[in-house]
Amino acid sequence: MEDCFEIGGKTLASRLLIGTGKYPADGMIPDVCGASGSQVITVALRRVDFASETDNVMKHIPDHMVLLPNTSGARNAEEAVRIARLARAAGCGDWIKIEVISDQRYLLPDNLETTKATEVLAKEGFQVFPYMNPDLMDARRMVDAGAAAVMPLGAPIGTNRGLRTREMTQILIDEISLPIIVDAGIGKPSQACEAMEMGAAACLVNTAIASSSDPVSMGRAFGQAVTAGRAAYLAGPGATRTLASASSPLTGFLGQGRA
Amino acid sequence: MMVNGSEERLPGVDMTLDAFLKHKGLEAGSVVVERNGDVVERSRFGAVLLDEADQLEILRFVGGGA
Repeated sequence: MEDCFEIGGKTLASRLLIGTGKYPADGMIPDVCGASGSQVITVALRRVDFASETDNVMKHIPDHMVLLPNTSGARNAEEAVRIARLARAAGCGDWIKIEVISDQRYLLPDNLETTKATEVLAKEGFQVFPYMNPDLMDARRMVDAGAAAVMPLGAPIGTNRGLRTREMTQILIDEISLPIIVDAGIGKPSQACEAMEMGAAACLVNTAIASSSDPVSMGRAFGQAVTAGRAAYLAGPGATRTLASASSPLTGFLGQGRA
Repeated sequence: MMVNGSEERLPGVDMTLDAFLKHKGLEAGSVVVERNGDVVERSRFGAVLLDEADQLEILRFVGGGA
């Protein structure tokens, strides 16, 4: 049986979500999409800068990718709602990742404002993906507000520090019925693999891929890691124990007397 | 008129949003616009007549992620 990922009204084969920020050249985005196997990609919305000619990131995104615009830049629920409505007006679907951040040092999400925005946008028919600090009660509020998934951070955005929130994220995985997508902070494929082994539904990785010296190869490695971790989760790990347990027979050694 | 936080004179009379975007060298299909706090659907760009009192926010998608 194929392990499909149902989310936001779509069925996906890949459980890796990627971003479009920080690449040395946006022209490599199609190759990263291809190598990673990812089918979902995030973008941000910003004021047009009339003073400088900026490249249009959209022309580098392959047609088959599902767009997940984020509300980065929003400092409260009201701004996130405004950005979400603008993103939908661009005609790229109804998925929205809520990012409400008022802390500029750690870029930590504001769970309260994020929940408020989730409620408004879910009622307007958006598929809402809230980026959040992994707190069980807040996650439950996001479920009640109509979220399509819950996206706890592994570590602060762009830090490549891995699953610093492991214990709290595991609680969300165990207690929340919606898909848990680990978002932000994952720095290496092994960390994405671990999140998937823990039972996360998917991982979102941008900086670790884009800031690698070979983003295309790193994208491929993340795709493989997420697939491996998911397969391990489905297979179920064997029990751990303190003392050794031989995996070869303990009989028939050389030099033993005949029984 | 305020455009993306900067004051700007309307470059002509009876100017539509569509014509204004062209004047700024922008492809209508690559931007989204908020006028006085409300989203303007792209299909209405040609129908919206701009006013000196308007506040416009003109945005586009850029790279971003996590």
